Amino acid sequence: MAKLDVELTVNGEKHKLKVGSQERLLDTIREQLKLTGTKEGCSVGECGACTVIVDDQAVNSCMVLTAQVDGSEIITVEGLESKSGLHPLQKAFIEKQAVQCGFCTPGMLMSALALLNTNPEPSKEEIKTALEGNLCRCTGYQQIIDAVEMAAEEWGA
Amino acid sequence: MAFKHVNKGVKRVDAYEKVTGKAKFGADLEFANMLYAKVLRTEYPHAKILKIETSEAEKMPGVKGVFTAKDIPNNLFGVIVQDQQVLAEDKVVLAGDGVAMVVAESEAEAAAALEKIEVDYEELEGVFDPLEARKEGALKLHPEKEDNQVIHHPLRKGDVEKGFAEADVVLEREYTTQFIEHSYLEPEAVVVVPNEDNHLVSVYGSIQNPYATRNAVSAVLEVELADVRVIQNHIGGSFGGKDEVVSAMAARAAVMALATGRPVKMVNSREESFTESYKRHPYHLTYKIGATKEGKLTAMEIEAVADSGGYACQTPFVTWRSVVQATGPYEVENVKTDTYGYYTNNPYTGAMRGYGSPQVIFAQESLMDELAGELGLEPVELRKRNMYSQGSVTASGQKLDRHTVSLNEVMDKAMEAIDYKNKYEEYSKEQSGDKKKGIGLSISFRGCSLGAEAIDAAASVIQINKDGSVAVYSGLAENGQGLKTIFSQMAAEVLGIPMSEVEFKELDTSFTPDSGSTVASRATLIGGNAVKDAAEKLKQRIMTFAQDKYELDAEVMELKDGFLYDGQGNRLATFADLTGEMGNTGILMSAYGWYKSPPISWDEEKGCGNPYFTYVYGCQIAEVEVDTGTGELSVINMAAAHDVGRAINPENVKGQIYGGVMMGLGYGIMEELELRDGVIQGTNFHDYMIPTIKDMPDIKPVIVENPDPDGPFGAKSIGEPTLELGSAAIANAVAHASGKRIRSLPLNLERVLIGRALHKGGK
Amino acid sequence: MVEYQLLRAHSLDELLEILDQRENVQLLAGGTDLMVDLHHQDQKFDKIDYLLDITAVDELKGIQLGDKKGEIGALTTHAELVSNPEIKEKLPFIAAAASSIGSTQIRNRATIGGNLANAAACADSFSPLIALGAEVVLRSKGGARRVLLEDFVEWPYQTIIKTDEVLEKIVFAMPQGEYYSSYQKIGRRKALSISRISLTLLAEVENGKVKKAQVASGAATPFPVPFRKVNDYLNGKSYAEIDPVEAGNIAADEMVGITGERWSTPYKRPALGKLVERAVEDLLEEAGYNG
Repeated sequence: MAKLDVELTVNGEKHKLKVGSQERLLDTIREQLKLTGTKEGCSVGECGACTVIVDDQAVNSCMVLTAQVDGSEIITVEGLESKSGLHPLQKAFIEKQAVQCGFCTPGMLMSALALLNTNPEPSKEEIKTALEGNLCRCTGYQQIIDAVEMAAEEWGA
Repeated sequence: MAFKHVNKGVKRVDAYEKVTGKAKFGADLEFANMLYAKVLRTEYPHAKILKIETSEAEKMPGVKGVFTAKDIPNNLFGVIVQDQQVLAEDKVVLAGDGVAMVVAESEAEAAAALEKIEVDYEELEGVFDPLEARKEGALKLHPEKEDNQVIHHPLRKGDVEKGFAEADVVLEREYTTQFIEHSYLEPEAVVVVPNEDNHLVSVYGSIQNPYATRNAVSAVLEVELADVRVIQNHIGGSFGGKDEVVSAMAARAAVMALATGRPVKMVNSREESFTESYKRHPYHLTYKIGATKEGKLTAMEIEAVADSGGYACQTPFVTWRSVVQATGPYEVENVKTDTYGYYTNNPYTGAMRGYGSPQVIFAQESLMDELAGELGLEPVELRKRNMYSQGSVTASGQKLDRHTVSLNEVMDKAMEAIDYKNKYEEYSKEQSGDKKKGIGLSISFRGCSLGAEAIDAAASVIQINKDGSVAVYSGLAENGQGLKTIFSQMAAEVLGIPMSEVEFKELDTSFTPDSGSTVASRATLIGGNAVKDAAEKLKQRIMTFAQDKYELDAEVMELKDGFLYDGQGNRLATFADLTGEMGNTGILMSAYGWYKSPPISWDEEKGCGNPYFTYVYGCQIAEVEVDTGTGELSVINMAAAHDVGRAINPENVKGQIYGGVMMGLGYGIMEELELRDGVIQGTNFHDYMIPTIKDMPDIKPVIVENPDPDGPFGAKSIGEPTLELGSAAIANAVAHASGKRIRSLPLNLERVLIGRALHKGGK
Repeated sequence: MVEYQLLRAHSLDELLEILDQRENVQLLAGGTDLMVDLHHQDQKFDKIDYLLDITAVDELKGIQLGDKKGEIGALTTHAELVSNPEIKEKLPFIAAAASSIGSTQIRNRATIGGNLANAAACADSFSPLIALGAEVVLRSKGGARRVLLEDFVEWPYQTIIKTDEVLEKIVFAMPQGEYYSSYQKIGRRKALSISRISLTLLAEVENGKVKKAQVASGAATPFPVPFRKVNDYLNGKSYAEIDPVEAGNIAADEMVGITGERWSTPYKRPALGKLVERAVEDLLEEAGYNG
């Protein structure tokens, strides 16, 4: 099958890519762009390990064909750290021990980032709603919530 | 005791790479010239393989090889019993058994080739219930064996007939627990590289127990252990689950890597993971308990039947822990316990966090509440009258006197944390409306580490580099639980250096010594002692050198914050300078640490002895709201008090508590792998539900510290105790709220509303 | 192996042209159902030659709520329904149903049109819209037709959409005067949970009496239907005459009348009855009835 041309901006960088008709955004990110921070946990939109931000919205990248998001702006976990250091969310996750095995972490960070970008002072309920599609089997979630709250405070300050 | 690093909430040393996405997990690895492998698995739970036709598959584009059992040098492996097939040869014994495999240039090409493999089966009758499998004349699933029994563990103490005769109240109850999927977020992945760095094969991937995997691969390939190198990557969770299933994957990939001369990557989809990975044993439990009207237990007779599925896997040891702990932490003079494991054609079962304890605790702690009700005693009171205290003797005849028996303490502290007394009183009164609240508790004792299962020893290597930086190696593996950080803390503590100077290195079987498996909540206890041993050896060497150099007594000098102090607040040298000088004078700046557990004893026939050298104690309390109109269950609050000896990293311990409580919640109220005639119905997370962030109760973790004489800095175990208690606490709370006692897990909508589970097909 | 050609439409005209000209076209919107099928290499792809992505067709987007009429574009995502202030104020039961679907990530992509067109038995978008008496507008190159939503589904996963049609929008009359609503859902956990049972109650009231009640099921029957017997029970009654328990029993009986005794009935009968009972209690409470 012929490949389709798409243009994506990923973590601020423009990419011209050729994608297959069945190629998911997850595949493009991991295999073409070699950004392996985004994970595949279930392939059916039930775990959130593949969460990235597309045009300001958190989405499961396993549920999106790359061709559908031609022209979009994508943020992955690799886009959080900058020359000035770790993002407040990353620092907070480390500070609050919100990381155990680390497999759900990129997805969690993306969902949290999407939240804080639109709602810088979220309530605990709003944090839970933003993260309800991200499963974690290790941490029991509490320290993740603590981390998001801490990041929100630091960011807002 | 004032510690610098130990007993502090030090940040995890491996957090940076995880929050930046830099951490490489198995599926992230890429090697030059890599091939991709896929496995064809049978949908039949029990069938003869008549013929496998692979010629069409071999012709498919991109395919570099199609393999079956005949290509496997030694097709059987296993940690305890070598009955697990790498690929099914004559028979498949469970739905999900691999029968053939393909390696190709891309995953898609491998998957396409799988579809072209033709297998002729002769379906056989299957056995799907261990209670059927044990019957006289049942279909024999492993013809070379006498019957379907995998194992039987007896435990005898006193005379139960006499004990029941002395009882005023005797209760008999049956409980059942379900198949559980580990549900680690990362599906299993391995990459095997042939002929790398003087090794025949190097195995990378999500491997919980690198030495067990090395054993399996070398046994399958029929090569020496030294020919197989296993390097452990970041693992996305394991909880006991990435042992035999990953070893099988590694063995398969190794065969293909050697056949093609190229690296072979094998990554499971979530569906494949569900289909082929082993599960937690479902148990069928019958308990008979006798007590005087004053609430003193006189006898317990217990039978626990575990479903081993198609292979023996860890069944012999899982059921052994059950036989030791089945009575719960209570003094009972007369005990007769029998635990059994039987082969069936269900998915096979193996190690899963708790390892034979969650099942018996659900039963026995539910039973204690039922008994309390019969006797007209409150649940706390019945427990206090019977639970272990200092010097108590267990069902196996072991006197608990080497460590602090802290059941009373954990219970009191948990009760305080959740305001148990007031809530118990409140919710015992009549409640109006459909939504009713209840509160319930459970307590446990847990033997730490392997006990009588195997030799319990671990090793560590510490190298001090010429610039004073320190590398720590351990034979135990970071599974996500924080091992790297804990061991770094211990090394830094002993050597008196900042955490930033310690680097924990990846486990590589070619030089870190075999330390057994990272299981049984033994890493801190056994592995930590090994790290401490290595560090202390080095410290000894340093202090001896310093004593000579500075002509001061070693006793007054101190290694602290990266300096050597003279005992009067003066800095004599930096750690780096001192150790650098030592290296330059030809002193060896590396040390091996080794720790072997204190002796234990077990008489397999009589079921008595000292099975574990130390124990931990825990109490969890659940406050629930039961919607008696819809069957919905909300766990609102949970208190979890655990005696860990010493919390090397309290923040980490809390993380284990939160995580374990949530896993226990899932076990108690929503998780269930549904099988129909051995076939899993629903092989992904939309069917198999684990708790989301919204299912979280408010969890109050309580860390109790009674330093253990054998633990490093007094520390013992936390990983598994946190999971094993939740389901019983919740079941007791539900009974308190609704007046209905549910004896089967999970406590799902149907069981809570109508008292029984419902199944498609009307069973 | 699944094979199809991927097409992308940028306008409604382009979309309709493709549907007219080609055969075996499957529409792709949010993807949260279809991508699961693709992952499973589902057999349905044997009959699919083209996958047509319509997410860029702006004419299918938008929410307009007037005084008398309202319309929701098929490509409206559940996230948009949750956050739209007018929906929250005037049709809160639609926002409630939307917010109970999936997760934030899923709601950001999944569309109301996709939920309806997929027609799973447990699809949550149906009951609020059936309660509104909504119609779907099905457009082809040749024109458009309207179908009452309760007549839209033939069987789970089977609707009466023709191969050259696209579900363009959902249209309905706005509830008039004083009205109250309740959305109820039972799931097996508190998020990412398919409904075990869900339903919507919408009632227009006047002078302490129920003028027009609409109770519609979701995930209780093979496809969502109005509970006409419950509606009949409630219509015309004053608050004092309404017994929520009886309404629940009527609903439970009506459900079993439709489904027959199934393996799940021993649970669903009492649970559905209880949900209807609570929806009616909500109605009475919000209406200010203190009986």
